[in-house]
Amino acid sequence: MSGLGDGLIDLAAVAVLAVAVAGLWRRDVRALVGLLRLQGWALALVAAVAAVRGRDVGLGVTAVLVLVVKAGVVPVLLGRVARRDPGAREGAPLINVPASLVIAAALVALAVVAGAPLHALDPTASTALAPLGLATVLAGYLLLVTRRRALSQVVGLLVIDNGIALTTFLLTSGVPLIVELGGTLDVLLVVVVIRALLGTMRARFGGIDLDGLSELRD
Amino acid sequence: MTLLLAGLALGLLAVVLALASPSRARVVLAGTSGVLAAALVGAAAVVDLAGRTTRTVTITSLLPFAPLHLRLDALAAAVELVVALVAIAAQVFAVGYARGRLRSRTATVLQGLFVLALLVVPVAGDVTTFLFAWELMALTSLALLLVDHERPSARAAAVWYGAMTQGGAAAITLGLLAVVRITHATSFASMAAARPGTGVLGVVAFVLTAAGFASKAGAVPLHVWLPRAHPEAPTPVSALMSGAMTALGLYGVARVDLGVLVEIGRGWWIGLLVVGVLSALFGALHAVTSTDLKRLLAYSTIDAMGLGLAGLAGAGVLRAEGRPEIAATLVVGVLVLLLAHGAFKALLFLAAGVVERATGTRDLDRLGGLVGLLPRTTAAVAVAAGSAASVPLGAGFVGEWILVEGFVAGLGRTAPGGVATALVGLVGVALTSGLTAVAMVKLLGVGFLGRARAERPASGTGEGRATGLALALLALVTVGVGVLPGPLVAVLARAARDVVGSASPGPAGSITSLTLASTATSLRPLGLAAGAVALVGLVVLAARGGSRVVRATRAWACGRSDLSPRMQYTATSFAEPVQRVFADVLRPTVDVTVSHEEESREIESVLAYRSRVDDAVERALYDPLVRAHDALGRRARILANGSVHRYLAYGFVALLIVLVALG
Repeated sequence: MSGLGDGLIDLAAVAVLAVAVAGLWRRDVRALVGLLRLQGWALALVAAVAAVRGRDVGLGVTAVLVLVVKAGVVPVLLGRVARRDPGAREGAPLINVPASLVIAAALVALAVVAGAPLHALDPTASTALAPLGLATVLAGYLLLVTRRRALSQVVGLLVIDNGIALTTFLLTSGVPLIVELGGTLDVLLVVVVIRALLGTMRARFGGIDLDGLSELRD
Repeated sequence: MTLLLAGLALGLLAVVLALASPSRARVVLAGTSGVLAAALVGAAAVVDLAGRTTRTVTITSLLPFAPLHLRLDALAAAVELVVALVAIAAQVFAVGYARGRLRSRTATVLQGLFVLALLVVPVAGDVTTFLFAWELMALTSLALLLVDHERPSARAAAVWYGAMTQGGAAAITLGLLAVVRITHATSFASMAAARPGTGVLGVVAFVLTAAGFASKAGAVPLHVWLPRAHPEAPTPVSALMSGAMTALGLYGVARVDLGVLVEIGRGWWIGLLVVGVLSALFGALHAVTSTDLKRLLAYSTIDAMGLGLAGLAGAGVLRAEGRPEIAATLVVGVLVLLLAHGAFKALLFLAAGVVERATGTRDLDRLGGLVGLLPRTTAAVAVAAGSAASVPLGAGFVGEWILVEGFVAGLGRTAPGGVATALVGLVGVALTSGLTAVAMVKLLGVGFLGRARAERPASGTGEGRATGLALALLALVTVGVGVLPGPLVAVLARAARDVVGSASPGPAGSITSLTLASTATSLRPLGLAAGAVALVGLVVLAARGGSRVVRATRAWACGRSDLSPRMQYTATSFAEPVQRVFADVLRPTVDVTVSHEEESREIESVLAYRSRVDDAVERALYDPLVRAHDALGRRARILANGSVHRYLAYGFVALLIVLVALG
């Protein structure tokens, strides 16, 4: 079990990061939502393996919660928004795709360097993976900063949240259930609010390109 | 101590009542509870001063972050007397005075909290409690200033006050943290026991705390908020701010700088003395030239607090010179001055509120002849103005007399440094008293005596029962302290000895006399009062026995009844000689506007003369500061160009920098 568990956790954690980086590569908004669903599955797998390994019922419930919200409800909600304008592609991102992939590589390296002390605190197999969570956060942030369309930015925000969740699973076998519950509900709320906001934006301005909004400051 | 706790509990109850009671009963219920709270705290202070014990109590469960430490020692009791007196009078007044916004739930709650904070500050026993109460006091008074937020001048005053008071609180916090760092203690008693004050950290602590407290007491150049905030606040609040809150600034200097930082060098005290004397002169000069009633009072607060600061700083110098008994005399003088100032200044501010409501203006150039409209208020103002101008038998005279005697004692028996200090102090007190007298004569003569200068509605005088009671109480205390200062000084001497650590008995007093050990002089105010009464009686008798022709004219009208209102002195013209003498310091702006008749250039239709005295410190120091700050702010808008991506990138870059710095 232990060997299989380690292998699964390695695979799933790497998958979370890989999906985040893939998000930087894809420009089709609907493809981004699909990637987000995939990331939710991988994250739930990490939580589930950690729960089985630690015989932790709370973590098991968390895994189910993650599966339902991050691989289910949220992608479905975002998918509905994405379907409103079919074929919506990200125009030119602020930084082009090859360049952002190179930056992502640098960010992963930074995460590994910055995460090393975390591993030194408690040298186990799973804390060695903690830099992956950090790297996911940074990749999500890069997505958030470089994309022009609001929906892509929401995806970036959710990738950041997934990265934080991954870090907590790997470092401390998850935070208490109540905290996780609160965090998840927060994400859900953000998605619902932003969905309403995007609907309004589309009705008012005919698009959801955030670059057109710079006149709104004071 | 039970009395104190009961008083503070009633203060809390006042806040709860203000929150919960229906709007009709709100002001009366909260006001009554607040008055009782202040009365109980005042009684606790009296009991403490009469007895000889210092009591402490710790309340653990009231605040979530730290226990409250209360400590009632002699100094705290002495200051608590001032605060309680002003709080009683202001709240009684408010019950009769509050209209409109001032009756709202927010305003009543804030006023209750403000009074409570004022009552807690002097009895705070450790740094946390002190800072908590201090900040509560600053914030509630700031919010009360905004009760009339529709007036632009009130909003501008709030901005100035907010910036200055928070800057001051930050300085005090840092200074107290430095003291904690030196002494490894947080209660004032154990801090003082460690005798800090040496080294760089001691100097830093002294400068920061002295600057913070002095700014609360309106010392130049940190005074700019005071002439704006005190006049703009609602009347009961301006009385509280001017009578009690500024006194707490001096209390801070006495408690922390004089009481805790014992080993600080003499030079720093000399610096503070100069600041105090300059503030006193500056405030007195501006009080003389102000024509706005409340602004005049605000500047005269700066002058009284400047004298107090000079007294405390003089005590610091003389203690460092090895004359703690003279230092104790000066501290007693300051404490008496604080009580006297609390009484007369609160009275004058409350009376200014009555005047403003009755006439609709605060401009002395448009007032006059109020004695007919507001006879009782005028009588109270006369008592207070006399006390402020240091006329004997007023409380203010006692305080200034002790201060002068203290400085005179320092003149005779110390090293050259002490002599110079005492000389500066003496000259400061003398010149300030003279100028203050001019300002007060102007206030009473131009504002209340003579003939009315403008038409005013005859209906509704505004002299209600509650407001009259508040003024009478303050006038009574003013005269009472002036006639019978002995017992008060006797108990205050203990507080002063505690503060400066003097062993000798210091000033002593009985019912009939007041003796200062340091100069072997004494004051017999009761005899003076008897003499004054006898003299007045003689004059009246002589008048009756002599001429039978009785001619009744108005006061302040040159003994004539045919003067028109425009022939009288105005506030501006009365101050003109002083303004000319001090023109180099005051730098007044004078506008003479001449407009001609249309038919002929030879005939002038209107000649308008306007002179205005702006705050020179504000013009030279604060205007460039504000402009630079403004320019910086405008420059900084380049950072915020409206692009969401740029804002997100700022966060991202910050995160990366943190990670790189950690990794």
